[in-house]
Amino acid sequence: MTNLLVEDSPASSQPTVSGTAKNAIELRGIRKSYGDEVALHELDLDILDGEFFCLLGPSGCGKTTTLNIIGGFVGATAGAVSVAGVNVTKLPPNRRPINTVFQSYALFPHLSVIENVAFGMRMAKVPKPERLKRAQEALDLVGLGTFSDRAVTKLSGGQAQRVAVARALVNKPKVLLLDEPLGALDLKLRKRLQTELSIIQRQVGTTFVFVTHDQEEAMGLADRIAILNGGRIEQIGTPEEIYRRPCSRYVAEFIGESNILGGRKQGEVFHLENGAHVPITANAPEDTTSLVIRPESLRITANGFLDAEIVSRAYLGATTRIVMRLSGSEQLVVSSLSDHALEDHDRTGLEIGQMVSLAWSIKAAHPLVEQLEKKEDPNGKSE
Amino acid sequence: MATLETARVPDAGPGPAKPDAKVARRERRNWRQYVGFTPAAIVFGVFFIAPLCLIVVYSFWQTKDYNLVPDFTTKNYATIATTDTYIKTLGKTILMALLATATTLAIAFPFCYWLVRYVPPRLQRVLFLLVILPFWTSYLLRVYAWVAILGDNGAINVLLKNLGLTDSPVRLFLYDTPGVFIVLVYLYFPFAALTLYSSLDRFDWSLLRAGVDLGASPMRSLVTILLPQMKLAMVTAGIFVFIPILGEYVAPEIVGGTNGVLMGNLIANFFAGYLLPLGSAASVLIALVILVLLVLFRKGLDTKDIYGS
Repeated sequence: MTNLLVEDSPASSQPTVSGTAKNAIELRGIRKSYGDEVALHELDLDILDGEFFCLLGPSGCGKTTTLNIIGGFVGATAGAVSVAGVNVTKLPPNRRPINTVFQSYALFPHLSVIENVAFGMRMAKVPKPERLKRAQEALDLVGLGTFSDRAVTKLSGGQAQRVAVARALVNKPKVLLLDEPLGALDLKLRKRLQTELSIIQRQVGTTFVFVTHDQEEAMGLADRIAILNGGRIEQIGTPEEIYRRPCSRYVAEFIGESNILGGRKQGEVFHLENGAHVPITANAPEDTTSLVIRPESLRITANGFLDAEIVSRAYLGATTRIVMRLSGSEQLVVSSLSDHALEDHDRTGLEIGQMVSLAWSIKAAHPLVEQLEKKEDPNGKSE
Repeated sequence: MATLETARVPDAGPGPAKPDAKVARRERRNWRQYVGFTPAAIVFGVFFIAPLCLIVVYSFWQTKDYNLVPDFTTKNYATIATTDTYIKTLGKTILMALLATATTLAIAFPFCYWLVRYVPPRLQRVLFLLVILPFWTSYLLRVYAWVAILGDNGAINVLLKNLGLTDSPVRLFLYDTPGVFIVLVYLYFPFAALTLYSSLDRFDWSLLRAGVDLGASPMRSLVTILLPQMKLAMVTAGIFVFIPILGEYVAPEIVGGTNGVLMGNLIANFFAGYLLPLGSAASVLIALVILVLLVLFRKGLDTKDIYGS
């Protein structure tokens, strides 16, 4: 939709959202610095009510700091946090309508499973029969209905994670924060719990804010993703928007694999650095500096736009990954052929060292405008 | 619930009947693995259990003309039970031990909490070394140092005099019960601190964050999450402090004067006066108090074992 690079005018960057849909969370001009080190630069973010939102980025990008500021565990240097329309900037975590699933789960070892789940209600002075009933319901929801009397020290990682989710959700928070909750689990279990989390989220309808560094996890779970980089939001959008129309080289490279071809636009032709020219959509900006083409969009044909030499070939089951070097350049590009497409090619042969021709659907080449000067000093990093 | 669990995890408990030969072999191996205890068993047997038995036996004997006579009697216990001073001293000793233990814990816990939670690790080690340091100096030296602090010309009295608050030395602290109390708390603080520190150091502080996240105030989190998990450490620290204080006699001897006498001093006096049976009976009483206490604490802990596997 919109490629929102957060820039110098935070107030005007999201003018329409707050009026139309109800926001579960609004961050306005959030800044966080530790001495000279700036962790977050003027962050503005709206998270819609009931959505599954992911904060995605590598370690040190500011995603956990953002989560901690929403939860109230870290105070922002400047800016305001609203939850469900209420300014909570000055409230401590225990007085915010938010609960958290911690990375280490942080289950209380001196309490049983059900006592853990009922803890929040005990603090809220909910009468014992009611809180036990609700805790049991929450355990049923996460599929641990028969585990109520167990010691939490005797749970497996996946079970502990589900208890942590139940313990947080049972308090009916306006927002549930999840801080890399699947990070400690093995891949297979992680996949299963991702599905479970997504089902639970739809069932309860609570706004989920999920922090992860795993782009695949974010793509699979989120309604919308915010990609953070160096304490700024690089792009916000649905997984599709971000994948198909990355707003920057950073996003294109962080989400999935990309072939990024540099050059300049002239009418409907894009002149590449190696002298070749390829077609470009007419509505691409005049100052387009590069094209992003996903490996699965790159086809190997008889007479395409670009010539390349096959460097390596790897059969991965569902797809085959073919790495090629563009003629007249050192740049490598990657094509990901479906098994089906590979079968056709194998009649003609795709041998290492063979020259091939590359083509793609013109729409599949997403134009990028990279401001090179801006890239040099993007946030005045002291290093 | 419990049956359900064991049914689901069959290999959790000891397995069902196994071939006899295997069991026998395992038992033999089990016996062998205790061989390493032999040196400790000898030391404890000869220097602890045997003397203890001897004391119990002596406590039922009598003395005639300063000589021990093996005639069975319960007179020694009756003497202690009917002599006002002895009963009072025993009561006072238990009370002193309880109060000093409680005070020591009340000082050591916040100290260790603060040390672990707010002091950077490197400084933590330095500060903790300062706590341990007194262990490396002579016990007597440390007690006499308190005489210098609490005495007539000690630091406190000099300060009070210079401030013009008193003309004559205040004798409240030295050669009386309060002085003994202060010195005991000082002497046993490191024991409590060591135990509590190692336990707090292993505590997962993110649990308090979770508590606050779930609506508990920071103070409430401490009480409902940290304290229950420190129960074992508190009891252990308490036992480490309480038991030696019950038997203390050097500190009361030096700083306690006539009013600060504890059971330990009585026992020492009995033995010094060749009243071996009476001293033994008093010792057995102290041991009984400790035994009862240990059993009580063990019961309290077993039901809710915090570190259950």
